[in-house]
Amino acid sequence: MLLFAHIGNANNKGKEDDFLKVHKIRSGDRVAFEKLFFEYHNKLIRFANTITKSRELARDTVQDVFLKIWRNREDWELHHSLKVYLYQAVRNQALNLLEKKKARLRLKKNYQSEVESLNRELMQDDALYGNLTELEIRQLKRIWELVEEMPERRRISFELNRRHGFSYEEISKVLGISKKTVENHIGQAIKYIREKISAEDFK
Amino acid sequence: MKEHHKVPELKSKLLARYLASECTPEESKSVQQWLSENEENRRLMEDLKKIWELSPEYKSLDESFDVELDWAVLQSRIEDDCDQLGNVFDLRSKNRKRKNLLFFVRVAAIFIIAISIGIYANQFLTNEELPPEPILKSISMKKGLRGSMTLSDGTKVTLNSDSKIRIPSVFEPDIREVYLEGEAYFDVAKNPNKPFVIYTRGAVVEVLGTSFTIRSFPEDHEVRTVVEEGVVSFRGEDEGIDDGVILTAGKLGSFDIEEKTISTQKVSNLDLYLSWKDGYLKFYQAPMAEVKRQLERKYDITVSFENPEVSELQLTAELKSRILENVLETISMSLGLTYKIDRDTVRFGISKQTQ
Repeated sequence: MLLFAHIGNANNKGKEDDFLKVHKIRSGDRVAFEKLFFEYHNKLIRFANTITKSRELARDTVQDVFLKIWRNREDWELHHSLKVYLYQAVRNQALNLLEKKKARLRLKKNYQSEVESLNRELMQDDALYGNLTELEIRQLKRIWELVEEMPERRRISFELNRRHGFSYEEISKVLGISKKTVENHIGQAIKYIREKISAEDFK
Repeated sequence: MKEHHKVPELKSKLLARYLASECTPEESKSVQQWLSENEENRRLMEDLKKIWELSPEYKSLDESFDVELDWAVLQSRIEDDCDQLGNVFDLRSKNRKRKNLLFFVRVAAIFIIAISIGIYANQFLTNEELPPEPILKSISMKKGLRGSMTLSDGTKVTLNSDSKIRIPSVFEPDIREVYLEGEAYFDVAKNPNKPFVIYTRGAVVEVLGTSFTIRSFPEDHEVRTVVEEGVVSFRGEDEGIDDGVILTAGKLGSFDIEEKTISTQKVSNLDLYLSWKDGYLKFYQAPMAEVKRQLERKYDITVSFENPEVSELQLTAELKSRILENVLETISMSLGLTYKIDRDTVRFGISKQTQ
Protein backbone atom coordinates (compact mmCIF):
# COMPACT_ATOMS: atom_id res chain seq x y z
CA MET A 1 0.00 0.00 0.00
CA LEU A 2 1.41 3.30 -1.03
CA LEU A 3 1.56 5.61 1.93
CA PHE A 4 2.79 9.10 1.72
CA ALA A 5 2.55 12.18 3.85
CA HIS A 6 4.59 15.09 4.96
CA ILE A 7 4.24 18.45 6.59
CA GLY A 8 4.09 21.44 4.31
CA ASN A 9 7.36 23.07 5.08
CA ALA A 10 9.53 20.44 6.68
CA ASN A 11 12.68 20.41 4.63
CA ASN A 12 15.04 17.98 6.23
CA LYS A 13 14.09 15.01 4.19
CA GLY A 14 16.37 12.28 3.08
CA LYS A 15 17.27 10.78 -0.21
CA GLU A 16 14.44 8.29 -0.21
CA ASP A 17 12.06 11.15 0.00
CA ASP A 18 13.80 12.81 -2.92
CA PHE A 19 13.41 9.72 -5.04
CA LEU A 20 9.77 9.43 -4.05
CA LYS A 21 9.19 13.01 -5.14
CA VAL A 22 10.92 12.44 -8.44
CA HIS A 23 8.97 9.26 -8.95
CA LYS A 24 5.71 11.10 -8.40
CA ILE A 25 6.62 13.92 -10.72
CA ARG A 26 7.76 11.42 -13.35
CA SER A 27 4.34 9.86 -13.30
CA GLY A 28 2.72 13.25 -13.76
CA ASP A 29 1.78 14.19 -10.21
CA ARG A 30 1.19 17.92 -10.36
CA VAL A 31 0.86 18.36 -6.61
CA ALA A 32 4.28 16.90 -6.07
CA PHE A 33 5.57 19.25 -8.74
CA GLU A 34 3.86 22.22 -7.13
CA LYS A 35 5.33 21.32 -3.76
CA LEU A 36 8.77 21.09 -5.23
CA PHE A 37 8.35 24.51 -6.82
CA PHE A 38 7.26 26.16 -3.58
CA GLU A 39 9.93 24.43 -1.57
CA TYR A 40 12.84 25.59 -3.70
CA HIS A 41 11.67 28.64 -5.61
CA ASN A 42 13.05 31.43 -3.42
CA LYS A 43 16.32 29.73 -2.64
CA LEU A 44 16.94 29.00 -6.31
CA ILE A 45 16.15 32.55 -7.37
CA ARG A 46 18.58 33.87 -4.85
CA PHE A 47 21.20 31.48 -6.06
CA ALA A 48 20.52 32.23 -9.72
CA ASN A 49 20.81 35.91 -8.91
CA THR A 50 24.38 35.51 -7.77
CA ILE A 51 25.21 34.31 -11.26
CA THR A 52 22.95 36.46 -13.41
CA LYS A 53 23.18 39.62 -11.28
CA SER A 54 19.68 40.38 -12.38
CA ARG A 55 16.46 39.53 -10.68
CA GLU A 56 14.57 39.19 -13.90
CA LEU A 57 17.13 36.89 -15.40
CA ALA A 58 17.22 34.90 -12.17
CA ARG A 59 13.48 34.53 -12.33
CA ASP A 60 13.59 33.39 -15.92
CA THR A 61 16.28 30.91 -15.02
CA VAL A 62 14.22 29.26 -12.32
CA GLN A 63 11.13 29.26 -14.54
CA ASP A 64 13.03 27.56 -17.33
CA VAL A 65 14.44 24.93 -15.00
CA PHE A 66 11.02 23.96 -13.67
CA LEU A 67 9.45 24.06 -17.11
CA LYS A 68 12.13 21.72 -18.42
CA ILE A 69 11.64 19.37 -15.51
CA TRP A 70 7.93 19.15 -16.23
CA ARG A 71 8.37 18.80 -19.98
CA ASN A 72 10.90 16.04 -19.67
CA ARG A 73 9.56 14.56 -16.47
CA GLU A 74 9.18 11.09 -17.89
CA ASP A 75 12.90 10.81 -18.46
CA TRP A 76 13.92 12.47 -15.26
CA GLU A 77 16.80 10.69 -13.57
CA LEU A 78 18.21 11.65 -10.21
CA HIS A 79 21.81 10.81 -9.52
CA HIS A 80 22.52 12.60 -6.26
CA SER A 81 19.92 14.56 -4.35
CA LEU A 82 17.17 16.83 -5.54
CA LYS A 83 18.93 19.80 -4.02
CA VAL A 84 22.13 19.11 -5.94
CA TYR A 85 20.17 18.47 -9.13
CA LEU A 86 18.23 21.72 -8.92
CA TYR A 87 21.20 23.92 -8.08
CA GLN A 88 23.20 22.32 -10.86
CA ALA A 89 20.40 22.89 -13.35
CA VAL A 90 19.96 26.48 -12.18
CA ARG A 91 23.62 27.20 -12.56
CA ASN A 92 23.72 25.76 -16.08
CA GLN A 93 20.62 27.61 -17.17
CA ALA A 94 21.76 30.87 -15.56
CA LEU A 95 25.05 30.67 -17.42
CA ASN A 96 23.15 29.95 -20.64
CA LEU A 97 20.84 32.91 -20.27
CA LEU A 98 23.71 35.12 -19.23
CA GLU A 99 25.64 34.13 -22.36
CA LYS A 100 22.66 34.99 -24.51
CA LYS A 101 22.19 38.29 -22.78
CA LYS A 102 25.84 39.15 -23.09
CA ALA A 103 25.69 38.36 -26.78
CA ARG A 104 22.74 40.68 -27.14
CA LEU A 105 24.41 43.43 -25.19
CA ARG A 106 27.89 42.93 -26.52
CA LEU A 107 27.71 46.08 -28.56
CA LYS A 108 26.38 48.07 -25.69
CA LYS A 109 29.08 49.46 -23.49
CA ASN A 110 26.78 49.94 -20.56
CA TYR A 111 26.39 46.25 -19.78
CA GLN A 112 28.72 46.30 -16.83
CA SER A 113 27.07 49.25 -15.16
CA GLU A 114 23.65 47.76 -15.67
CA VAL A 115 24.77 44.57 -14.00
CA GLU A 116 26.16 46.45 -11.06
CA SER A 117 23.16 48.59 -10.47
CA LEU A 118 20.85 45.59 -10.49
CA ASN A 119 23.02 43.80 -8.03
CA ARG A 120 23.28 46.78 -5.74
CA GLU A 121 19.52 47.10 -5.70
CA LEU A 122 19.29 43.84 -3.81
CA MET A 123 21.77 44.89 -1.18
CA GLN A 124 20.66 48.48 -0.75
CA ASP A 125 17.48 48.01 1.15
CA ASP A 126 18.38 48.05 4.82
CA ALA A 127 14.88 47.07 5.80
CA LEU A 128 15.66 43.60 4.51
CA TYR A 129 18.13 42.83 7.22
CA GLY A 130 15.79 42.26 10.11
CA ASN A 131 17.29 42.65 13.55
CA LEU A 132 20.88 43.34 12.66
CA THR A 133 22.59 46.41 14.08
CA GLU A 134 23.73 49.16 11.75
CA LEU A 135 27.30 48.02 12.21
CA GLU A 136 26.45 44.45 11.38
CA ILE A 137 24.59 45.50 8.26
CA ARG A 138 27.65 47.44 7.14
CA GLN A 139 29.88 44.45 7.78
CA LEU A 140 27.49 42.14 6.06
CA LYS A 141 27.38 44.29 2.94
CA ARG A 142 31.12 44.52 2.91
CA ILE A 143 31.44 40.73 3.16
CA TRP A 144 29.29 40.18 0.13
CA GLU A 145 30.92 42.96 -1.81
CA LEU A 146 34.18 41.15 -1.25
CA VAL A 147 32.59 37.88 -2.31
CA GLU A 148 31.65 39.58 -5.56
CA GLU A 149 35.31 40.14 -6.29
CA MET A 150 36.10 36.45 -6.11
CA PRO A 151 36.37 34.06 -9.05
CA GLU A 152 33.04 32.45 -9.97
CA ARG A 153 33.54 29.01 -8.39
CA ARG A 154 34.91 30.45 -5.18
CA ARG A 155 32.05 32.88 -4.95
CA ILE A 156 29.48 30.16 -5.57
CA SER A 157 31.14 27.75 -3.14
CA PHE A 158 30.99 30.33 -0.38
CA GLU A 159 27.48 31.35 -1.27
CA LEU A 160 26.17 27.78 -1.36
CA ASN A 161 27.71 27.00 1.99
CA ARG A 162 26.77 30.15 3.84
CA ARG A 163 23.42 31.03 2.36
CA HIS A 164 22.08 27.71 1.19
CA GLY A 165 23.47 25.30 3.75
CA PHE A 166 25.31 23.09 1.28
CA SER A 167 27.96 20.69 2.53
CA TYR A 168 31.34 20.65 0.80
CA GLU A 169 30.37 17.37 -0.84
CA GLU A 170 27.19 18.84 -2.27
CA ILE A 171 29.00 21.91 -3.54
CA SER A 172 31.51 19.70 -5.29
CA LYS A 173 28.66 17.97 -7.11
CA VAL A 174 26.91 21.17 -8.11
CA LEU A 175 30.07 22.70 -9.48
CA GLY A 176 31.62 19.52 -10.81
CA ILE A 177 34.88 20.05 -8.91
CA SER A 178 36.58 17.91 -6.29
CA LYS A 179 35.85 18.25 -2.60
CA LYS A 180 39.45 19.30 -2.06
CA THR A 181 38.98 22.18 -4.47
CA VAL A 182 35.87 23.24 -2.59
CA GLU A 183 37.85 23.22 0.67
CA ASN A 184 40.41 25.34 -1.02
CA HIS A 185 37.87 27.84 -2.34
CA ILE A 186 36.12 28.30 0.97
CA GLY A 187 39.37 28.54 2.87
CA GLN A 188 40.59 31.16 0.42
CA ALA A 189 37.28 32.97 0.54
CA ILE A 190 37.22 33.45 4.28
CA LYS A 191 40.89 34.33 4.36
CA TYR A 192 40.33 36.93 1.67
CA ILE A 193 37.37 38.49 3.45
CA ARG A 194 39.19 38.58 6.75
CA GLU A 195 42.22 40.25 5.24
CA LYS A 196 40.35 42.71 3.06
CA ILE A 197 37.84 43.82 5.59
CA SER A 198 39.33 47.08 6.73
CA ALA A 199 39.58 48.26 10.29
CA GLU A 200 36.84 50.86 9.84
CA ASP A 201 34.36 48.16 8.86
CA PHE A 202 34.61 46.85 12.36
CA LYS A 203 34.62 50.08 14.28
CA MET B 1 40.10 43.78 14.75
CA LYS B 2 42.57 46.61 15.09
CA GLU B 3 45.55 45.15 13.39
CA HIS B 4 45.50 42.36 10.93
CA HIS B 5 47.41 39.24 11.49
CA LYS B 6 47.82 37.27 8.34
CA VAL B 7 45.85 34.08 8.23
CA PRO B 8 48.37 31.30 7.76
CA GLU B 9 47.95 29.85 4.27
CA LEU B 10 47.43 26.23 5.28
CA LYS B 11 45.35 27.06 8.31
CA SER B 12 42.64 28.94 6.42
CA LYS B 13 41.36 25.75 4.80
CA LEU B 14 41.29 23.89 8.08
CA LEU B 15 39.70 26.77 9.99
CA ALA B 16 37.02 27.17 7.34
CA ARG B 17 36.28 23.48 7.53
CA TYR B 18 36.15 23.75 11.29
CA LEU B 19 33.59 26.54 11.03
CA ALA B 20 31.64 24.59 8.42
CA SER B 21 31.58 21.50 10.68
CA GLU B 22 33.38 19.55 7.99
CA CYS B 23 36.25 18.50 10.23
CA THR B 24 37.08 15.02 11.43
CA PRO B 25 37.20 14.69 15.23
CA GLU B 26 41.00 14.65 15.09
CA GLU B 27 41.07 17.82 13.07
CA SER B 28 38.68 19.52 15.47
CA LYS B 29 40.96 18.59 18.30
CA SER B 30 43.95 20.03 16.51
CA VAL B 31 42.07 23.28 15.88
CA GLN B 32 41.17 23.53 19.54
CA GLN B 33 44.77 22.83 20.42
CA TRP B 34 45.87 25.61 18.06
CA LEU B 35 43.34 28.00 19.57
CA SER B 36 44.65 27.43 23.07
CA GLU B 37 48.21 28.15 21.96
CA ASN B 38 47.97 31.92 22.12
CA GLU B 39 45.69 34.91 22.27
CA GLU B 40 46.50 35.90 18.70
CA ASN B 41 45.11 32.67 17.31
CA ARG B 42 42.06 33.01 19.44
CA ARG B 43 41.41 36.53 18.18
CA LEU B 44 41.93 35.48 14.59
CA MET B 45 39.38 32.75 15.04
CA GLU B 46 36.95 35.25 16.54
CA ASP B 47 37.21 37.42 13.42
CA LEU B 48 36.65 34.48 11.13
CA LYS B 49 33.76 33.29 13.20
CA LYS B 50 32.17 36.71 13.08
CA ILE B 51 32.40 36.76 9.28
CA TRP B 52 31.20 33.19 9.11
CA GLU B 53 28.17 33.72 11.27
CA LEU B 54 27.18 37.05 9.84
CA SER B 55 27.41 36.03 6.20
CA PRO B 56 24.23 33.93 5.91
CA GLU B 57 22.05 36.80 7.20
CA TYR B 58 19.85 37.75 4.33
CA LYS B 59 16.50 37.05 5.83
CA SER B 60 13.61 38.99 4.47
CA LEU B 61 14.77 38.88 0.89
CA ASP B 62 12.50 35.89 0.49
CA GLU B 63 9.52 38.15 0.74
CA SER B 64 10.61 40.20 -2.20
CA PHE B 65 10.01 37.30 -4.56
CA ASP B 66 6.42 36.53 -5.37
CA VAL B 67 6.26 32.75 -5.41
CA GLU B 68 2.54 32.60 -6.05
CA LEU B 69 2.88 34.82 -9.07
CA ASP B 70 5.80 32.83 -10.42
CA TRP B 71 3.90 29.61 -9.93
CA ALA B 72 0.96 31.05 -11.87
CA VAL B 73 3.31 32.10 -14.65
CA LEU B 74 4.81 28.63 -14.77
CA GLN B 75 1.34 27.09 -14.87
CA SER B 76 0.39 29.15 -17.87
CA ARG B 77 3.64 28.28 -19.60
CA ILE B 78 2.92 24.61 -19.01
CA GLU B 79 -0.58 25.04 -20.37
CA ASP B 80 0.75 26.83 -23.44
CA ASP B 81 2.97 23.84 -23.92
CA CYS B 82 0.02 21.50 -23.84
CA ASP B 83 -2.00 23.65 -26.21
CA GLN B 84 0.79 23.49 -28.70
CA LEU B 85 0.84 19.75 -28.42
CA GLY B 86 -2.92 19.75 -28.81
CA ASN B 87 -3.80 17.93 -25.64
CA VAL B 88 -4.58 20.10 -22.70
CA PHE B 89 -5.41 17.21 -20.46
CA ASP B 90 -2.31 15.34 -21.27
CA LEU B 91 -1.17 15.83 -17.69
CA ARG B 92 -4.17 14.29 -16.14
CA SER B 93 -5.00 11.49 -18.47
CA LYS B 94 -1.56 9.96 -18.21
CA ASN B 95 -1.74 10.18 -14.51
CA ARG B 96 -5.05 8.50 -14.49
CA LYS B 97 -4.05 5.57 -16.67
CA ARG B 98 -1.25 4.77 -14.33
CA LYS B 99 -3.49 5.08 -11.33
CA ASN B 100 -5.97 2.67 -12.82
CA LEU B 101 -3.28 0.08 -13.22
CA LEU B 102 -1.84 0.58 -9.80
CA PHE B 103 -5.05 0.69 -7.93
CA PHE B 104 -7.16 -1.96 -9.54
CA VAL B 105 -7.61 -3.23 -6.03
CA ARG B 106 -9.45 -0.09 -5.26
CA VAL B 107 -11.72 -0.59 -8.24
CA ALA B 108 -12.62 -4.00 -6.94
CA ALA B 109 -13.46 -2.46 -3.61
CA ILE B 110 -15.68 0.11 -5.26
CA PHE B 111 -17.53 -2.71 -6.97
CA ILE B 112 -18.30 -4.27 -3.68
CA ILE B 113 -19.52 -0.96 -2.36
CA ALA B 114 -21.55 -0.39 -5.49
CA ILE B 115 -23.31 -3.69 -4.99
CA SER B 116 -24.09 -2.95 -1.41
CA ILE B 117 -25.38 0.40 -2.49
CA GLY B 118 -27.82 -1.24 -4.81
CA ILE B 119 -29.30 -2.91 -1.78
CA TYR B 120 -28.94 0.20 0.25
CA ALA B 121 -30.37 2.57 -2.28
CA ASN B 122 -33.50 0.46 -2.52
CA GLN B 123 -34.18 1.01 1.12
CA PHE B 124 -33.86 4.71 0.65
CA LEU B 125 -35.95 5.08 -2.45
CA THR B 126 -38.79 6.58 -0.51
CA ASN B 127 -41.37 9.04 -1.71
CA GLU B 128 -40.77 12.41 -0.22
CA GLU B 129 -43.11 14.62 -2.18
CA LEU B 130 -46.60 14.06 -3.44
CA PRO B 131 -47.92 14.26 -7.02
CA PRO B 132 -48.68 16.13 -9.24
CA GLU B 133 -45.03 17.13 -8.97
CA PRO B 134 -42.74 14.44 -10.31
CA ILE B 135 -41.97 12.03 -7.51
CA LEU B 136 -38.54 12.60 -6.03
CA LYS B 137 -36.59 9.57 -4.99
CA SER B 138 -34.03 10.15 -2.38
CA ILE B 139 -30.75 8.29 -2.23
CA SER B 140 -28.41 8.72 0.69
CA MET B 141 -25.05 7.45 1.72
CA LYS B 142 -24.41 6.92 5.40
CA LYS B 143 -21.09 7.84 6.95
CA GLY B 144 -18.44 5.33 5.96
CA LEU B 145 -20.13 4.58 2.65
CA ARG B 146 -19.71 5.99 -0.79
CA GLY B 147 -21.38 4.90 -3.96
CA SER B 148 -21.97 5.43 -7.64
CA MET B 149 -25.13 5.14 -9.68
CA THR B 150 -26.20 5.78 -13.22
CA LEU B 151 -29.34 7.84 -13.71
CA SER B 152 -31.95 7.16 -16.38
CA ASP B 153 -30.36 9.70 -18.75
CA GLY B 154 -26.97 8.04 -18.52
CA THR B 155 -25.48 10.56 -16.07
CA LYS B 156 -23.15 9.01 -13.54
CA VAL B 157 -23.27 10.24 -9.98
CA THR B 158 -20.85 9.35 -7.21
CA LEU B 159 -22.23 10.24 -3.83
CA ASN B 160 -19.86 10.81 -0.94
CA SER B 161 -20.40 9.62 2.62
CA ASP B 162 -23.04 11.45 4.62
CA SER B 163 -24.60 12.87 1.47
CA LYS B 164 -28.00 12.72 -0.12
CA ILE B 165 -29.43 13.33 -3.54
CA ARG B 166 -33.04 13.59 -4.65
CA ILE B 167 -33.90 12.68 -8.21
CA PRO B 168 -37.29 12.71 -9.99
CA SER B 169 -38.53 9.26 -10.93
CA VAL B 170 -38.71 10.55 -14.50
CA PHE B 171 -36.94 13.67 -15.73
CA GLU B 172 -39.03 16.49 -17.20
CA PRO B 173 -38.97 16.64 -20.99
CA ASP B 174 -36.96 19.88 -21.08
CA ILE B 175 -34.82 19.81 -17.96
CA ARG B 176 -33.01 17.40 -15.67
CA GLU B 177 -33.26 18.66 -12.09
CA VAL B 178 -31.75 17.09 -8.98
CA TYR B 179 -31.32 18.24 -5.38
CA LEU B 180 -28.14 17.68 -3.46
CA GLU B 181 -27.10 17.73 0.17
CA GLY B 182 -23.47 16.99 0.88
CA GLU B 183 -20.94 16.13 -1.77
CA ALA B 184 -21.27 14.46 -5.15
CA TYR B 185 -19.37 14.04 -8.36
CA PHE B 186 -21.29 14.20 -11.63
CA ASP B 187 -20.38 12.93 -15.03
CA VAL B 188 -23.31 14.35 -16.93
CA ALA B 189 -24.54 12.67 -20.10
CA LYS B 190 -24.47 15.15 -22.97
CA ASN B 191 -27.83 16.52 -23.99
CA PRO B 192 -27.84 20.12 -25.21
CA ASN B 193 -31.63 20.25 -25.29
CA LYS B 194 -32.06 19.14 -21.72
CA PRO B 195 -29.86 21.00 -19.26
CA PHE B 196 -28.85 19.21 -16.09
CA VAL B 197 -29.47 21.39 -13.03
CA ILE B 198 -28.42 20.78 -9.45
CA TYR B 199 -29.96 22.73 -6.60
CA THR B 200 -28.12 22.86 -3.32
CA ARG B 201 -28.56 25.20 -0.39
CA GLY B 202 -29.46 28.22 -2.42
CA ALA B 203 -27.00 27.62 -5.23
CA VAL B 204 -27.74 26.38 -8.70
CA VAL B 205 -25.34 24.54 -10.91
CA GLU B 206 -26.37 24.10 -14.49
CA VAL B 207 -24.62 22.02 -17.12
CA LEU B 208 -25.04 20.59 -20.54
CA GLY B 209 -22.60 17.72 -20.37
CA THR B 210 -19.47 17.64 -18.32
CA SER B 211 -17.91 16.29 -15.18
CA PHE B 212 -17.50 18.17 -11.95
CA THR B 213 -17.83 17.87 -8.21
CA ILE B 214 -20.04 19.80 -5.80
CA ARG B 215 -19.57 20.10 -2.08
CA SER B 216 -22.26 21.50 0.14
CA PHE B 217 -22.12 19.93 3.60
CA PRO B 218 -24.26 21.49 6.34
CA GLU B 219 -21.24 22.82 8.25
CA ASP B 220 -19.72 24.47 5.18
CA HIS B 221 -20.19 28.19 4.78
CA GLU B 222 -20.10 27.83 1.06
CA VAL B 223 -21.21 25.62 -1.78
CA ARG B 224 -18.20 24.64 -3.79
CA THR B 225 -18.10 23.42 -7.37
CA VAL B 226 -14.99 22.25 -9.13
CA VAL B 227 -15.12 21.43 -12.83
CA GLU B 228 -13.07 18.61 -14.22
CA GLU B 229 -14.14 18.84 -17.84
CA GLY B 230 -16.48 21.00 -19.85
CA VAL B 231 -18.41 24.08 -18.79
CA VAL B 232 -20.78 24.69 -15.90
CA SER B 233 -22.98 27.65 -15.03
CA PHE B 234 -23.05 28.44 -11.32
CA ARG B 235 -25.41 30.94 -9.66
CA GLY B 236 -27.53 31.76 -6.65
CA GLU B 237 -31.11 30.49 -6.68
CA ASP B 238 -32.55 33.97 -6.90
CA GLU B 239 -30.52 34.99 -9.87
CA GLY B 240 -31.26 34.56 -13.55
CA ILE B 241 -29.10 32.28 -15.60
CA ASP B 242 -27.29 35.25 -17.09
CA ASP B 243 -26.16 36.40 -13.65
CA GLY B 244 -24.27 33.24 -12.89
CA VAL B 245 -20.62 32.64 -13.46
CA ILE B 246 -19.29 30.26 -16.05
CA LEU B 247 -16.87 27.71 -14.71
CA THR B 248 -14.57 26.01 -17.16
CA ALA B 249 -12.34 23.01 -16.59
CA GLY B 250 -10.00 23.48 -13.68
CA LYS B 251 -12.04 26.26 -12.14
CA LEU B 252 -13.52 26.36 -8.68
CA GLY B 253 -16.61 28.39 -7.87
CA SER B 254 -17.71 29.04 -4.32
CA PHE B 255 -21.11 30.37 -3.39
CA ASP B 256 -21.11 32.08 -0.02
CA ILE B 257 -24.31 30.98 1.68
CA GLU B 258 -24.58 34.08 3.91
CA GLU B 259 -23.58 36.72 1.41
CA LYS B 260 -25.09 34.97 -1.61
CA THR B 261 -22.04 35.90 -3.61
CA ILE B 262 -19.95 33.78 -5.92
CA SER B 263 -16.23 33.86 -6.32
CA THR B 264 -14.09 31.80 -8.65
CA GLN B 265 -10.51 30.69 -8.71
CA LYS B 266 -8.28 28.49 -10.77
CA VAL B 267 -7.46 25.11 -9.26
CA SER B 268 -3.97 23.92 -9.94
CA ASN B 269 -4.61 20.58 -8.40
CA LEU B 270 -7.96 19.03 -9.25
CA ASP B 271 -7.14 15.86 -7.39
CA LEU B 272 -7.50 17.65 -4.09
CA TYR B 273 -11.19 18.06 -4.84
CA LEU B 274 -11.81 14.84 -6.71
CA SER B 275 -9.78 12.30 -4.72
CA TRP B 276 -12.74 11.46 -2.48
CA LYS B 277 -14.62 9.83 -5.35
CA ASP B 278 -11.75 7.42 -5.86
CA GLY B 279 -11.88 6.53 -2.22
CA TYR B 280 -9.01 8.40 -0.69
CA LEU B 281 -8.40 11.64 1.13
CA LYS B 282 -5.98 14.20 -0.08
CA PHE B 283 -5.05 17.35 1.79
CA TYR B 284 -2.97 20.37 1.02
CA GLN B 285 -2.29 22.52 4.04
CA ALA B 286 -5.69 21.62 5.42
CA PRO B 287 -6.40 22.54 9.04
CA MET B 288 -6.89 19.51 11.28
CA ALA B 289 -10.42 20.71 12.02
CA GLU B 290 -11.23 20.01 8.37
CA VAL B 291 -9.30 16.73 8.38
CA LYS B 292 -11.34 15.69 11.41
CA ARG B 293 -14.63 16.27 9.56
CA GLN B 294 -13.50 14.30 6.56
CA LEU B 295 -12.25 11.39 8.64
CA GLU B 296 -15.50 11.27 10.58
CA ARG B 297 -17.45 11.14 7.38
CA LYS B 298 -15.34 8.62 5.57
CA TYR B 299 -14.81 6.18 8.43
CA ASP B 300 -17.95 6.89 10.46
CA ILE B 301 -15.97 7.65 13.59
CA THR B 302 -15.76 10.48 16.07
CA VAL B 303 -12.50 12.39 16.17
CA SER B 304 -11.42 14.55 19.07
CA PHE B 305 -8.29 16.49 20.02
CA GLU B 306 -6.67 16.26 23.45
CA ASN B 307 -4.96 19.60 22.95
CA PRO B 308 -6.92 22.40 21.33
CA GLU B 309 -3.89 23.52 19.33
CA VAL B 310 -4.07 20.30 17.32
CA SER B 311 -7.03 21.68 15.38
CA GLU B 312 -4.78 24.49 14.19
CA LEU B 313 -2.14 22.20 12.66
CA GLN B 314 -2.07 21.92 8.90
CA LEU B 315 -1.84 18.64 7.07
CA THR B 316 -0.50 18.00 3.61
CA ALA B 317 -0.94 14.35 2.80
CA GLU B 318 -2.29 11.80 0.43
CA LEU B 319 -4.01 9.09 2.44
CA LYS B 320 -4.39 6.20 0.09
CA SER B 321 -4.76 3.43 2.58
CA ARG B 322 -8.25 2.08 3.18
CA ILE B 323 -7.25 0.98 6.64
CA LEU B 324 -8.05 3.52 9.30
CA GLU B 325 -4.99 2.68 11.41
CA ASN B 326 -2.66 3.32 8.49
CA VAL B 327 -4.26 6.66 7.86
CA LEU B 328 -4.07 7.67 11.52
CA GLU B 329 -0.46 6.53 11.65
CA THR B 330 0.45 8.66 8.65
CA ILE B 331 -1.25 11.75 10.02
CA SER B 332 0.33 11.30 13.44
CA MET B 333 3.77 10.79 11.99
CA SER B 334 3.69 13.81 9.78
CA LEU B 335 2.38 16.18 12.43
CA GLY B 336 4.13 14.73 15.46
CA LEU B 337 0.93 13.52 17.07
CA THR B 338 -0.19 10.47 18.98
CA TYR B 339 -3.54 8.79 18.55
CA LYS B 340 -5.73 6.45 20.57
CA ILE B 341 -8.61 4.40 19.24
CA ASP B 342 -11.42 3.58 21.60
CA ARG B 343 -14.19 1.80 19.69
CA ASP B 344 -15.55 4.47 17.33
CA THR B 345 -13.61 7.32 18.82
CA VAL B 346 -10.18 8.53 17.86
CA ARG B 347 -8.27 10.96 20.04
CA PHE B 348 -5.28 12.87 18.71
CA GLY B 349 -2.78 14.34 21.13
CA ILE B 350 0.55 16.06 20.79
CA SER B 351 3.42 13.62 20.97
CA LYS B 352 5.58 14.11 24.08
CA GLN B 353 8.74 13.96 21.97
CA THR B 354 7.76 16.94 19.93
CA GLN B 355 6.78 19.07 22.89
